Order: sequence, then C-alpha cells, then structure tokens
Amino acid sequence: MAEITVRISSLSYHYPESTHGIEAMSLEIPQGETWGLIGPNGAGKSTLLLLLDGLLKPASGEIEIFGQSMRANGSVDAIRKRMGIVFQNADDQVFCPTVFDDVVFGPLNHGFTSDEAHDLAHEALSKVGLDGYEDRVPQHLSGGEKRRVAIATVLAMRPELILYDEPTTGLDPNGREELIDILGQTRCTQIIATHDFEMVLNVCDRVALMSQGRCVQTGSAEEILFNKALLEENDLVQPPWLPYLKSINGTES
Amino acid sequence: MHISDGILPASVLVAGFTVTAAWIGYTARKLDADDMPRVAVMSAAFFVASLIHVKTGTTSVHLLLHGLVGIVLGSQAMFAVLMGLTLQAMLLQHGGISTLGVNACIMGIPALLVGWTYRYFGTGKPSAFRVLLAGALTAGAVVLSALMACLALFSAGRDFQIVIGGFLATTIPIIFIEALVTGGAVSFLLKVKPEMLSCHTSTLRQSA
Amino acid sequence: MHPEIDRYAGLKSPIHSWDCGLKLPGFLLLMLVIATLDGLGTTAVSLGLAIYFLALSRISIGFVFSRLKWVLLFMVPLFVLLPLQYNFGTADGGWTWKSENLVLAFKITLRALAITLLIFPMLGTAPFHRSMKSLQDLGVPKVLIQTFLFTYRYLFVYLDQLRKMRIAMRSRGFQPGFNRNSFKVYGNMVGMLLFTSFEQTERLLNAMKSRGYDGNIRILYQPERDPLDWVKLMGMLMLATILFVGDHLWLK
Repeated sequence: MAEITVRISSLSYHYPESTHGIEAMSLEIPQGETWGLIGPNGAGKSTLLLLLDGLLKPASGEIEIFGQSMRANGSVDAIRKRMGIVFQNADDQVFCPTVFDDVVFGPLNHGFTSDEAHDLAHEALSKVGLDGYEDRVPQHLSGGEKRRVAIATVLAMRPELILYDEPTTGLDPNGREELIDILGQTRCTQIIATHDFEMVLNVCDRVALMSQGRCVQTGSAEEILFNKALLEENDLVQPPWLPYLKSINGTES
Repeated sequence: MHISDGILPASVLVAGFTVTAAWIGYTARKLDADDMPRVAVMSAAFFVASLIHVKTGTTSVHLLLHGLVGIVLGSQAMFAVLMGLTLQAMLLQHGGISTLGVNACIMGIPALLVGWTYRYFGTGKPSAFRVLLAGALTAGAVVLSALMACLALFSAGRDFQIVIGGFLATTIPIIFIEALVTGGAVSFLLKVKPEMLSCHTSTLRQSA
Repeated sequence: MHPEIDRYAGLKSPIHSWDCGLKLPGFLLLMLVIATLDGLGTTAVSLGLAIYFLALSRISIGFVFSRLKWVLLFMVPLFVLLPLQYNFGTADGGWTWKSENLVLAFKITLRALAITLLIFPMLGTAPFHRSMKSLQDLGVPKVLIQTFLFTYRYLFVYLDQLRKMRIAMRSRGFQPGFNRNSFKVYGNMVGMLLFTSFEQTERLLNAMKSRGYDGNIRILYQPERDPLDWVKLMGMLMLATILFVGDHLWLK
C-alpha cells in the first residue's frame, strides 16, 4: 500500500457573497499517482488547488500533505518547499525579465545555493524541452512556450507534488501534445484540474469527479469518463468521440 | 504633462532630483513586499495612459491618470509616477531624462495630495460623493501640475512667457478630460471592485 | 509604438561590449552635463558626439528617427513661441518679435536631440533588464529596481489588453470624440484595465508565494568587467569634463 501524499477530510471553504466553494469534501491521493480533477465550472476545482497550496485558509476540515497537517505552525512553508502549483494563465506566474531568472526564482527562495539553483534551472528547462531559452524574454514567447516555462519554474524546485490548474486551456494542438508529454514523463504525485478529457485518459491514473464543492466519485479514468450517465448527472457532457476511444483502448488491452 | 530635456537650468534639475530622491527614499522603506506588485501595476497603467489618445478637435492629447494613481496608491503614488515617467523617457523618448526629477515632482506631488485628500474626505461616504470627489480632485491635480510646470518653465527665463501661455491653453481641455475619465474609472471600480479604492492599502493583502 | 528599446541589443559594437554597470553612469553623466550646456558651440559639439556614439552603436537610423517624433513635436512650437514676446508695463506695450530667441530655441532643440539620441546607445545596446539590474550597482535601492522590472514585464501584458479592448470597442462602432460619452467610455476602459490587472496581481502574488517568495527577490547577476570597460568610462568622464569646461570658456 503506497503512502498517502494528500489527505483531505471534511474540508469546507466558502467565498464571501458567492455560492461556490468547497463543501465537506474528503479525498485521499496516494504517493506517485496522477489524478485528474474534473467537474463543471464552479465545482470547486481551482478552489481546492488554492486550499492545497495554502493560499486559501479552510473554514473547517483538515488537509494533510506529506503526513503534515496544514494547520500546524510553519507547516505551510515546509510543505510548499516540496510542492508546486502551475496556474491557469502563465502571465500570472512568469514575471521575471528572462526565462532563466524566472526558473531560478523558486530554488533561490527555497535556500539552494547559486550553483545548485543554476543546475536545477537548467535541468528543469531541458525537461520541458526549452534548452537554450535561458536568455529569452517571456513576453516574446508563444502561449505554449510560456506554459512550459511555468511548468519548468515548478519542476526546478524538485517538487514531490505538483498541482495544475487547467494546463491545456488555450494551447494549440501542438502545444497541447507537448504538454501532455511533459505531464506523462513527470515522476511525482500530480493533481490536474481540467476539462480536457482526452488528456485525462492519456495521463491520469485516477479521476475525482467534483460537483458543487463535493467529490462525487473517484475511480479510474475509464470508469468515470466512459460513464455517460454519471457525467450528465453532474452537468458534464461526454464528448461524442469519447466512446470510440474506448473501443480503440479496448482492442489494445 | 512634463518638460523636455534641454530647457531647464541646472539648478532646477538638481532641485527636482533632490526632492524626488528624498521622498522616494523616505517611502521606499515603507514599501511592503506585498505592495510591490500593486505599485508595479499602477506604474504600468500610468505608462500606458500616455498611449491612450483623446481627440480635442484638431489635435489630440494623451491621458495622464496621475489623479487616479494618487487615489489608488496614496503615499506610494510617487513611486508609480517616477517609474512610469522613467519608462516613458527610456522606452518612448517621451518626456526627458535630465528632467525626470522635475517631472516626477510636477506629476507626483499633486498625485500625493489627491491621494491624501481623497482618503481624508472620501472614507465611508456614498459612491456618488466619492466619484464627484475623485473627479474634482483630479481636476485640481491637473491645474496644480500645470502651475508647477509653469513655475519650472518660468525659472528658465522671462522669455518663456508666451510658451507658458500656450502651454496653459493646451491644459484647459485636459482638466475636463482627466476629471471625467478618472471619475468614470472610479465609478466603474466602485461597482466591480470597491476594495481597490477602499482607503487602506492592506485590504488586498487580506483577501489574497 | 512598441516600447521595445532593446531591439538591437544583439549587435556587436564597442558600446555593446561595455559592461552596463559602467556604461549607464558614463552616459548618464554625459547627458546631465549636456543638459547644463549654454554655449551654442558646445551644444552643437554635444549633438555631434551623440551622433558619433549612435553611429558607433550601429543601431538602425530608421529605428531612431521613428522615435524622435515626440521630441521634435515639442521643439517646433518653440521657434515661434520663444521669439514672440508681449511687453507688459511699458507704455507702447504690445507684441514684439525678439529674433535672438531663435538662437535660444535652437540651443534647446540641440540639447534635447543630443540627450535623446544618447538614450539609444545607452539602453539599446544591452537587454533592458540587464541595464536595469546594473542600476543596483549604482546604489539605486533594490526595491525600486524590482518594482521597475515588474512594471516593465507588465507593461506588455497591458499593451496587449489595451489593444484587444480597442478592437472590441471599434468592432461595436465606438467613435472617440471630444464629448462626455467618449470620456465615460475611456473611464470604463481605464477602470477595466485596472480591475483586470489587480485581479492578476492577486494571482501573481499567489504564484510567487507558492514558490517561496518572502519579499526578497533573488536574482543571479554577475557583472563581467575587464579593464577596457574602465578605460571607456574614463573616456566618457573626460568628454563630459571637456564639454563642461569648454562651455564655461565659450561663455566668457
């Protein structure tokens, strides 16, 4: 039995003057697995990610990451050193004058020496296929390249857990393919909030279906995504081509 | 509203840099890590304002927005003004390098006054009043900036009287434009994100 | 106009190879001295120097000319407004034309042009962020530089936003003019720009915090200097001194 990396128990969070939030949600994510978080807009996917990164404070309930409670004093900083979050819009994340400056930002903050940070940054850039982009200026990059820089900034911290908020949104087909490759090759626990079912089928071991702030069902990607009735009950539409993937997958296995 | 390179005497240039450096040095220590991106946002907005042109009959003028910078940033307004002006001078060759200090005073001091006055009288008042207050204060800020610019030009010599007159004439439409645009922006923000204009800089920090 | 001053940073020239930490003070000093010049001869020489440095930097002349528009726009009226005088207080009073002020307008234009032209070799010969980081060496407070670099980064995001908003407004038939409605639209536009950017700042701050931001931005920067960099600085100091002294001699 693998260790549990993320344990969420009866977690609640409410935005002021909004019906959205998280309602008594529980979920356990074992070490090394890649999870997809799916659900309609407003289901609480992004909110959950912000709570997991300690950027929002839960109203009630408990989050444990790496076996440490997020409520304990100083634990948020300790946990953050071991995890990273990739936001939906790379412009919110990549802010330094050059790609390299941005990628070393995290390692330097987390107390690595200049030399170590230097090596980590180069390693992260090559993982996302951006060798040679060190001196490029972020505002001149394409959307896909910016997103990959954003992922490199997180990988450079050697995280054991990465959260992604809609990583494929707004990318062209090529950019999306490259991103899926990167996600598939990353070896650590990953949680991906997304509407992109095809990507979920490609990279996710397990899926948590969220609706109205709760986790409605968990299961393998196939179990959830091929269950048309379950998706429709939760205001999601199964893309019409999805069943064909099932038959292709079926013949393969 | 600014004075170009090559016009003012050295003493005025030095005085401008001294006043600006003193104020920036004084407030830099109070600039919080959490405030830094916020100030940067307003600096960028102030810069971008110079690229928004408004037609006034035959010619066009660009927006200043120093009143709005004052309203949003209060004591830190001078930062945003200085950065915006520096970027304008460096990237667009608009304004001047040697006159940066003087121009920062011309734009920044009225912005600071607007910020303080808006906070003093506007706190807790209904939206309509705050919009009017913002518009009126901004009009005042434009007039004050214009007068300070005239004072600086006057130091360049008596022969500048007609230049000063011409400059004042172009200022008149700007007073109205700035007051209405800033009033409009404040009214918009009071509707969609009132905490941005609430009179405490720390509100955003609490919500983040 | 795209605010991209460092488009020619990739070229090679004696100015490109000069370390920013010494190049910036050198050029800034020269600019400030030029701003104080008063003799016609020395002012003309300073413009010659500026053109020389510009040629040395190999920055495209067309690029420079396209950016001199503002400077010239401000200078042209001076040739009319400066000589034109109105005599207050004298009995005959009225308007007079003081031709010697044409020289004054001419000197102002020369100075402004010289200083503006020097911006290009100063900032156009290195990536902008490197020039700005080197200001830290000159004792400019770190927090200022960081905020400045932030501003620079966000500028491009806003310009993009502004462009999109303009297109959206035009597609819905907005015709800007000098009337209340136009100003209201501009007000909303500015409000919207600030609103979206503030929301973005909140997200940005979140992203920074999650990467361990605690108020200090740590950036790797090592200036690379060789003796030649110092020689260039000394040369610049000498030029500035010669101009300054020459100006005082000229005025005598």
